[in-house]
Amino acid sequence: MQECVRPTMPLIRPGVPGAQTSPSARRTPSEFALLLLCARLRTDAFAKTQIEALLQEHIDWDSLITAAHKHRVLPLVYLTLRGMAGIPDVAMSRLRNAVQANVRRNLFLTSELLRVIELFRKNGIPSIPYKGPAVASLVYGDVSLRQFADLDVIVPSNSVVLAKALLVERGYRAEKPLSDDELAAFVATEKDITLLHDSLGINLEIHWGVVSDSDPIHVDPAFLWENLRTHTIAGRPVQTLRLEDLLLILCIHGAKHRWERLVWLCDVAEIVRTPGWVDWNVVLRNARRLGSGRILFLGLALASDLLGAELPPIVLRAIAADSVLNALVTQVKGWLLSEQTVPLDLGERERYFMRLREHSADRLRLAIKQAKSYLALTVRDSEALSLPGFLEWSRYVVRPIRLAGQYGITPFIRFFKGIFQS
Amino acid sequence: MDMNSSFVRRSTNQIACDMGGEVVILDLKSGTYYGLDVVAARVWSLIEQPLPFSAICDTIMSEYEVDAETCGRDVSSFLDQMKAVGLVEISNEAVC
Repeated sequence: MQECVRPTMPLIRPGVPGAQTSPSARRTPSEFALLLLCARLRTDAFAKTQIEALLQEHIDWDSLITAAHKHRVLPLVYLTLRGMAGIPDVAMSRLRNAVQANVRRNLFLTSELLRVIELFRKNGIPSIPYKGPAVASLVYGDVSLRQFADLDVIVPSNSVVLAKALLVERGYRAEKPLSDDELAAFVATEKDITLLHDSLGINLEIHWGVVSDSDPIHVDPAFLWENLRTHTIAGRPVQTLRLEDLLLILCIHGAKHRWERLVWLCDVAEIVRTPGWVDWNVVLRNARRLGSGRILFLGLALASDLLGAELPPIVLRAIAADSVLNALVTQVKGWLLSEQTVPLDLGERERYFMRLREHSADRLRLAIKQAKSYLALTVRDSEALSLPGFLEWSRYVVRPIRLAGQYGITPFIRFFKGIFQS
Repeated sequence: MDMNSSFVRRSTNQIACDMGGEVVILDLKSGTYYGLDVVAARVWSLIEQPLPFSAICDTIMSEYEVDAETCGRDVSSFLDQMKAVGLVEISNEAVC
């Protein structure tokens, strides 16, 4: 693949040469405030005034650009700041170079995605492009306006073996080498496999589900295929999730990853911002059906709080009625605003997952699943205590005691708080 | 071929994106990227569906201060070069 922009045509111009700025310094609230205001497809007059005021302050541009890249919002930041006064040339140039590189990468990945979808179609495999170019095109209107690193395609679970074989023929290799029989067994318990194309530098995930057994919620893969829509990416028709379903799935995806990347909230905010785009009755009905109301409202509340997305009254009332949501929003904002990814103490992730569920029955089911996972014996349990065969069962009693000795009882307290304080 | 009576449209051998008016095209055959300036990007946006050359020129002249001769020459030159690298198709019929 060549990467060049040819300057030969009278109306065609070359790319802007690269430029470097000084080494990165620590991010301050001003930079993050600016990031939040810029990470929008369109800025209203109020946001623009706030941006102009922030540009009067000292902005650490290296820090801002690093954060924009980490949160995958470089194109939005560039588009918002382009043409505004008060931005050093060197910073704008660096931003432009990064965005131009992203544009080329996105076009390349999109072209590969379309080829893969066509390959699947020719072999009778229906597919749904998921995240990446599909969300960029559907939500932002153009594949260049969202950063993405890899490709994701959903196929029916009974087509995974064939889909993988076709991709291997195309030059991909499975990250985890599995025979066809092993893969068929893998499909029964997992949700995706990763394939790598070493010479093209592409990671492609084949999904047959969107949540794994360890996630806070179960989504039946059949849900994904119920209401597909035809959307055009770069002039080619593809099947995509209905926008209402996509919104829900994006909120589930963001919540399970603790909304670590701002771009996930931007996706939600842009869907919400487009008037008349979403039938909220459909969204709320599906959220009730999946038991994911709080997960949905968390994403929407964060999109409103951080990115100024205006929520409809029906959603605002639901958010106000949930007494746990405020604390969850504060908790997630704390993680998001941290410069580094915040590692969670043992038991904290489980507590957070349980708090995401609004129904006590769902929390209990999740708690049992988590408890089973924690109580599964490991080699260390065998090494810790030598027991005669008829006492093997007692290892399940000894394991929590051994874990409490190793980690203290705080993780257990967090675990039970997760069940009862939601 | 008389350009004035021709229809122009994008070729299927490309994918393009428009980032706030900055158009970049990837030629799927050669893997080459092309960047268009504002006027070229406008022409590109017009030819998503087959369009007569004269209609392209009329639109450009209505949006920019340019005389008919200069506009026709520049647009024709641009489209010729785009055709030479396989990014547009030019024919005498509306369906290229």
